[in-house]
Amino acid sequence: MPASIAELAISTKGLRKTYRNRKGLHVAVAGLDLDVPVGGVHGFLGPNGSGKTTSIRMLLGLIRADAGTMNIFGHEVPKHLPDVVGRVGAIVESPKFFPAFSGRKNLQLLAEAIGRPRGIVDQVLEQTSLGERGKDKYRTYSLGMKQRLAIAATLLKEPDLLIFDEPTNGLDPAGIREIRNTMRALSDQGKTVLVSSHILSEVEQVADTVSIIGHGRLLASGRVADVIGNQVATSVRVGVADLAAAHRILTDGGLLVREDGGLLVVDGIADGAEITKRLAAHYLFVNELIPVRADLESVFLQLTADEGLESSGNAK
Amino acid sequence: MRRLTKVELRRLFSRRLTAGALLGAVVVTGMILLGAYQQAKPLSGQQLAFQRAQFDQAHQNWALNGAQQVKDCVKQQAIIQKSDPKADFHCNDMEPKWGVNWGKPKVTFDDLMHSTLLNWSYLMAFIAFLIGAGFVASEFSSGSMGNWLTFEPRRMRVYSTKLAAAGLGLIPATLTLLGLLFGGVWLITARYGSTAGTTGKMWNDLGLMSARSLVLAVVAATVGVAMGTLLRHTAAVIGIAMGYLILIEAIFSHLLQNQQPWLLRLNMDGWLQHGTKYYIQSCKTDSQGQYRCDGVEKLLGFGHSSTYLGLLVVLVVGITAMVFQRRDVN
Ligand SMILES: Nc1ncnc2c1ncn2[C@@H]1O[C@H](COP(=O)(O)OP(=O)(O)OP(=O)(O)O)[C@@H](O)[C@H]1O
Ligand SMILES: [Mg+2]
Repeated sequence: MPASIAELAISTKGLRKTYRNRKGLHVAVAGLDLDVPVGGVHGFLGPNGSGKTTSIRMLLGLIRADAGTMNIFGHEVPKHLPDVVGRVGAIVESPKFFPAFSGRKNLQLLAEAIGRPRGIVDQVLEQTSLGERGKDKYRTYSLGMKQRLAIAATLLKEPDLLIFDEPTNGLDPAGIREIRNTMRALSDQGKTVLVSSHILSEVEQVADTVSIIGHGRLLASGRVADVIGNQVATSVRVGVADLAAAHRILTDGGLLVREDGGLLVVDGIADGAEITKRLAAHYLFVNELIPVRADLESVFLQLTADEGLESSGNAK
Repeated sequence: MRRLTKVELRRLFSRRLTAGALLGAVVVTGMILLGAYQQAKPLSGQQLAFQRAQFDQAHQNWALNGAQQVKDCVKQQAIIQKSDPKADFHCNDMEPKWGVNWGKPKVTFDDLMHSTLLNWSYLMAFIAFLIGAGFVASEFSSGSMGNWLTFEPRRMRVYSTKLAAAGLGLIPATLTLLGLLFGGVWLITARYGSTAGTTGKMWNDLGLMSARSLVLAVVAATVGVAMGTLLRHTAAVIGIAMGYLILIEAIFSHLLQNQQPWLLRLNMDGWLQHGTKYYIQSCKTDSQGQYRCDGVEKLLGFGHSSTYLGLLVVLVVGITAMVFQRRDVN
C-alpha cells in the first residue's frame, strides 16, 4: 500500500546501523523499510535483538544511522528533527528519570524545558493516575508507576505521535491492560501510536496495523488481519473416531491433512462444513471441529523461522 | 536557550550533590579561616615568656660579641665576593630584634588575606569542578540524558546550556564564600594583627585576585561539565583528576623540573597571583672542581599562565563538544 510520505507518521528507507563490538561488526538494523500510517496503533514486532530499539533510537536522533533515510510526518530526520520533535512523545526501552527527584519534579523540568504551562504537569499526572504519588521520589516508584510516569512525560508535549518501546515490560496483567487501554485511548484521540514488542498476543489485541521485523529487516507489514491471512492459511482441527479412515478420505479428496495429538489437522481450509460433508458421506461422524485462526504468533514464528531466527515471543 | 539554561540552573540547585558540595565549601572556608586564626593569634603567656628569655639571652650575647661577629661577617663576605660580586651577607643587620627574630610579628591583613585566598581558591575550584562533573555525569549514568534529548535534540544547545548553568550557578555561591573569607580574615587581623596598613593598592590587588579566583571557580565548573560529559561517570572524572594530581603533579614534576611551566597547578598559581615563581635545581661543577646544586628561582608570567589555562579550557570543552555531537546516547 504505497502512500506518500506526507500521509505517513513514520517512514524509513534502507535504514542501517552497524555496531562495533568485541567480535567485530554487528549489523543491528539492516536496511529497514518501515511505514507507519497516520492514526491508529501500529505494532512494531520482532524478537529480542531484532533491532526495534535501535531503529527507534535512530528515529529520535539518539544514535546515528549508517545509511538510509527517515521521515517523521514528512520531515526528514534527524536533519529536521527539531521541527517535529515537539509532536513526538517517546519512551525508549525503560523509563529513565532522575532517581533522587520526585516524579513531579522530573516532569516540571521537562515541561519547563519545552515551555509548557505549569498546570500541564498536574494534568498529565492525573491522566496517568499518578496524582498524589507524584510528590514521591522517582526511586521509590514501582515499575508500573515508572512506566506511567514515562507516559505522563510523553503527554507533556501533547504529541501527535507516540513511540512506546516495550511499554509493558515487567508489568503484571492489570498493568498491561492499563497500558493497552491508554494506547487505545490515545489513538481514539486521533494520535498515532507506535508500540514495539516481542509479546505478540499483547500487541495483536490493540494494534490496527503491524510491521514485523527480524534481523533488522522488515518481514511483513500491513493490517493485522491481512498479515495473518497472507502468511498462514487457516486450518481446521477435526476429531473423529476412525482417524486413519478419515485421513485417507480427506487426502483422497485433495486436502492437506496431518495428524496431531489424536486429531486431524486440515490446512488451507477455512470452512469446516466441507469436511463434515465429505466424512459424513462415508458414515464417519465428526465429534469435534475447531477452526484454528492463525494468530500473529504463528505468523511471527513462521516468518522468523524462515529467517533462521529463534523467536523468544511469549506463548499465549 | 535562556529557558533551557534556567531549567538547568533549577536542576543544578535541586541536586543533593550540589547542596552537599556547597556545604563542603562552607566547611572548607571555615577550616581555612581557622588556619588563618592559628597564624594570627598571639603567643600564649608561656610561649611568650620562653621567647622573651631566648631573646634576652641572644641580646646579651650580642652586647658582648656583636662587634666581633660583624667584623667576621664582613671578612667572610669579602672572600666570597671575589668569586661572586653580588654576594650579600647582611652584616649590618645582625642584631637580634624582638618581633622579628623572636616573639611573633603582627600579621597584616594584606599578607594573611593573600595567602588565605590563594589556598582557598584551589579548594573552591576543585569543589566547583566536582559540582560541574556530577551535574552531567549523573544524567548519563541515570540514562535521563536520552530522555532529555527527546525533548531537545539540538545537542549543542543541550551542551552549552549545561556549561552555562554550571558556570552561572557557581557565581553567587563563590561570591558569598569570598565575602565570608574576606570578612573572616578581616575580623581576625583586626583583633590580633593589623588592618591599618592596608593601602588602596593592596585592596585593589586583593580585589583583582578575588576576581581571578571567581573566574577560576566558574571555569572549573564548566570544565567539570565537559569532563562529566566526556566520561559519563562522576567516579571516572574523580579518578582521572586524582590520577593527574598524584601521577603528574606529585611525581612527574619532581622528575622533570624544567617542565613545571606545563603543569596545571603552577599555572593556576600564576593565574591567581598574576605571575608566580618556581624553583629548579641547577647543578654544575664550579671553578674549584666541586659539584654544586643550587635552587634557581624562575618566573612564570601571567601571560603564560592565562594563555595556558585558556587553551586548555578551549581544548577540553571543544573536544567534548565534538564527541557529544556525534555520540550514540542510550
Ligand atoms: N550500544 C550497543 N552496542 C553494541 N551492540 C548493540 C548496542 N545496542 C544494541 N546492540 C545490538 O543490536 C542488536 C539490536 O538490538 P536492539 O536493542 O535494537 O533490539 P530489540 O529489537 O530492541 O530487542 P529487545 O526486544 O530485546 O528490546 C542486538 O543484537 C544488540 O545486541
Ligand atoms: Mg528493545
